[in-house]
Amino acid sequence: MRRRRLIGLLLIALLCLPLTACESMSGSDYMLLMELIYGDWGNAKGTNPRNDKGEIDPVKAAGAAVQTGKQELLGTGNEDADAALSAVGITGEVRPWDGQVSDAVNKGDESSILLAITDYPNDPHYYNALAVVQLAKGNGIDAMKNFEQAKTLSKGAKKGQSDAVTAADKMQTRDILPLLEQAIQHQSENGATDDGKTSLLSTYCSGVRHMKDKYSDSYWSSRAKTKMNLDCEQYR
Amino acid sequence: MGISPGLDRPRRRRGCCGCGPLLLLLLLVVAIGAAFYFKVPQKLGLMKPASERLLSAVPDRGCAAQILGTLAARQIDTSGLTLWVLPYKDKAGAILYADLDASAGFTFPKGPADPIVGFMTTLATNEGSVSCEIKRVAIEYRFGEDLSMIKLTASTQELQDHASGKLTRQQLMKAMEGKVDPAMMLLSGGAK
Repeated sequence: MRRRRLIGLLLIALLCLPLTACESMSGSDYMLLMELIYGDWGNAKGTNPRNDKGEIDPVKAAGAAVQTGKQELLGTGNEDADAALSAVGITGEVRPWDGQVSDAVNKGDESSILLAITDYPNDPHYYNALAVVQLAKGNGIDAMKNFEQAKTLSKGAKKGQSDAVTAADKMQTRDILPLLEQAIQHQSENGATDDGKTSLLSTYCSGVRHMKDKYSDSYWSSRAKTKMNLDCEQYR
Repeated sequence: MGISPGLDRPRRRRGCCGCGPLLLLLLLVVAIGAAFYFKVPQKLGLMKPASERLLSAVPDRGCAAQILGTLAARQIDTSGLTLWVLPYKDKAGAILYADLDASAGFTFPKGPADPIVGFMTTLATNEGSVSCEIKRVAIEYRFGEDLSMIKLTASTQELQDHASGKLTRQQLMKAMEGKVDPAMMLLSGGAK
């Protein structure tokens, strides 16, 4: 009897979790998702367990279960889509480190970034973050070494592409710019020296101009003007 | 005629002689299903997920920042929206993975007649995504860390073709792949 009661309570708790979440969602978003799952998309994919009246139809539910199970076991049949649907495996691994490294750039904390590098020695982002912190502190020599290391790793990450050098150069420049913005915005907290502040600005503006001049990408120069109040054409 | 001495004895219940192997087979099927569902072969390193086979393990954070900035410049509310750009290993281009966290304030931008498809199209075709050569978009709608409700994905080409009228909504729905949390399928009452 006691065991039955416990199982009952557990079931109620399990049911409540998604329902509470749904209630807290924006009502219209919830309806939009429901319309998709029980409407056009669910019907097109054979995963809609409900009939036209909105009731769960045993036959449709069985079909939906088979379809869902088949997808879990064999994939969707489209490898590209399967890669996208399982990409959370990659992002889930780096997500905690990215947050920690971002905080470290704000605080000028090199040791936290070194821990990330120990765990992910092939990730250029963490070398770039370390280099930016070192640049802020006026340690230009080590910063250049780490920028170089990041560049080499970016080339490695893009080696399968036909225009690997260009792709790696773009990736490296784009990766540095937000980190530099962050370091400039937090230079009162990250221990930036006067030399460091000048280096941050000149490296930032040189990256902004590089994106515009070499790749005709003016996003960063307009961002520099609007977000950073910097005209990098003047800052040479 | 003598009476057989065995007739008086109570009959021994022989049970269901075919049930044992059948039950075993059923258990085996359930176990195999559960092993795949909980990704045991991947965890044991026997099978690589498609993301590991096709995508680089190093996300392009600069591209993600550029795309997010482009959306913000278009006055799109980016609360609860986290973007990941995952370049392909062996070819140009990347997949854009958008994490939509309702508990952190994400809501689909209002305006287009079809906000979900409209948002996916915006993710795929904005200037930042064009510059970063985004070939496919995936969205994951979730509530907090552990409750993922739905994942949907479509290629940039399919979304563009639908936007330009080359692909009907039905054709796009057929092409769009995804995964729904089974709890969401069964528990949400009332919705058609």
